[in-house]
Amino acid sequence: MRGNEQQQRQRPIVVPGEYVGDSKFHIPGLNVYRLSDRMLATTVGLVRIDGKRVDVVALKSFYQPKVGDLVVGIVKEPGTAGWTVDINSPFLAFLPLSEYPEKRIRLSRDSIGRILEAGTVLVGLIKDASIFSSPVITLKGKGLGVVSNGFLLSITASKVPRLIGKKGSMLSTIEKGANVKLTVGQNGRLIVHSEDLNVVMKVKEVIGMIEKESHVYGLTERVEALLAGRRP
Amino acid sequence: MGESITLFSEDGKRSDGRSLDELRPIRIKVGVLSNAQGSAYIEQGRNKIIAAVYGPKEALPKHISLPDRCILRCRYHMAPFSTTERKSPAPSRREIELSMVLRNALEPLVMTWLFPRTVIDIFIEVLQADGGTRCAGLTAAVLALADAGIPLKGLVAACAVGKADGKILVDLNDLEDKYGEADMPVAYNPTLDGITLLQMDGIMSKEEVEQALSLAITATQKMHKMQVDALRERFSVQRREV
Repeated sequence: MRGNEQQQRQRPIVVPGEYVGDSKFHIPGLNVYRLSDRMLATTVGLVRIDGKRVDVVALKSFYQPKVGDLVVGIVKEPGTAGWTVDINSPFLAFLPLSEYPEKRIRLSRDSIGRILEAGTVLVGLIKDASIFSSPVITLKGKGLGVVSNGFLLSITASKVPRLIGKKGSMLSTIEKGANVKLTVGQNGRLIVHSEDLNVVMKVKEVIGMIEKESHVYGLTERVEALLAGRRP
Repeated sequence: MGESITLFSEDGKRSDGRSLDELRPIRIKVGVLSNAQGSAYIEQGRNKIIAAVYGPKEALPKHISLPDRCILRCRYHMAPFSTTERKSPAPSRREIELSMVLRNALEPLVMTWLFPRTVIDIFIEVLQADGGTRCAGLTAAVLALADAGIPLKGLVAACAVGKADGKILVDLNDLEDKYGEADMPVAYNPTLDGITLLQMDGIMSKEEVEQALSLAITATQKMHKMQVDALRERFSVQRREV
């Protein structure tokens, strides 16, 4: 019975160019474009209809920076006025010196590369994002800054909302189940604040499950079962 | 040429036993390389081709980047062991030209304006060649793009049509390509009902071109179905595990 219910709730996978709705009844949302009176998908994903809006939730996607997003970045290169930061997106972000929380930086004494070395992991906030220039991030704010310990994991950017869940429900389930604190960036990177490898491996397994099965009914129960040590 | 090559058997079948409008057996697999963002493998008759996509990523050197869209870089390459006699691994004039032709055929499908100042690298590696590699390569490359999650207006499938012994043929093999009278690769997008690649080598009358084009469109529609199935297969594997 549950198998049937599960099957019914599985939505079909659409591919680029596939018909997902009619322009008389729908408006194009995420990963959908309009061709005369037809709505067509642009990526491989699952159709989600919310009122008149048709979205295709991509099964694989890139992170598109948006102002206000919390991101986990890795310093790529120190420059003359700041750092280039890899935010797991097609676009490299820029962290200007003015957005570094230290109040006084004496450039005569400290070279930029010494303040933040290449490879440093940081939690930042997207301050500015436009199509004309590189996204700008800031480290000024609560919970932002350099990450000194923990493990870095990743998930497809489109699955981050599922990882966080409604009002953070999935995230708190994982945190409680694995007894660990997580920092999830909207860019698909997350930090496991733990030194215990067993905990990290458990979280990794859960993340892998969410990534693979985010579109299948009953995910929360399976995640709970996995965290409790039962094979779902 | 001076050689006498028989391209048809007595019962009208082609050298490999196919009828005039029959495609070679096709096998497509998407997501074959774990290091690339997207990848696809195609076997069309004796052709074996792998396509990989990297990006969108920062365009380097920076002066090549465009402020309003991303650049597509395409590399079509035949492996030294892809032909009966060793092929030099250096890019030949033909490969450089085909790389450009394939990039032009893919560009109308990619929503390049979503990723300004970036570049998408597409690699098409021919592992074994038996005629029609540009078409099979294009069919695989578009699947690799879709597998990478790059937004596309639709999928494109490509197939060569041509003429041999006065007959119009679909999906020419190496023999028919070499000894036939004409060869016309066509890439067709069923969603937009548009052609993104059309080349011709040889001589055909206007009526023959029209007939060949219509056969090519029918063949590419069949291939498009196979592409869709391969993509669905790739992403539904996870469901079966549940």
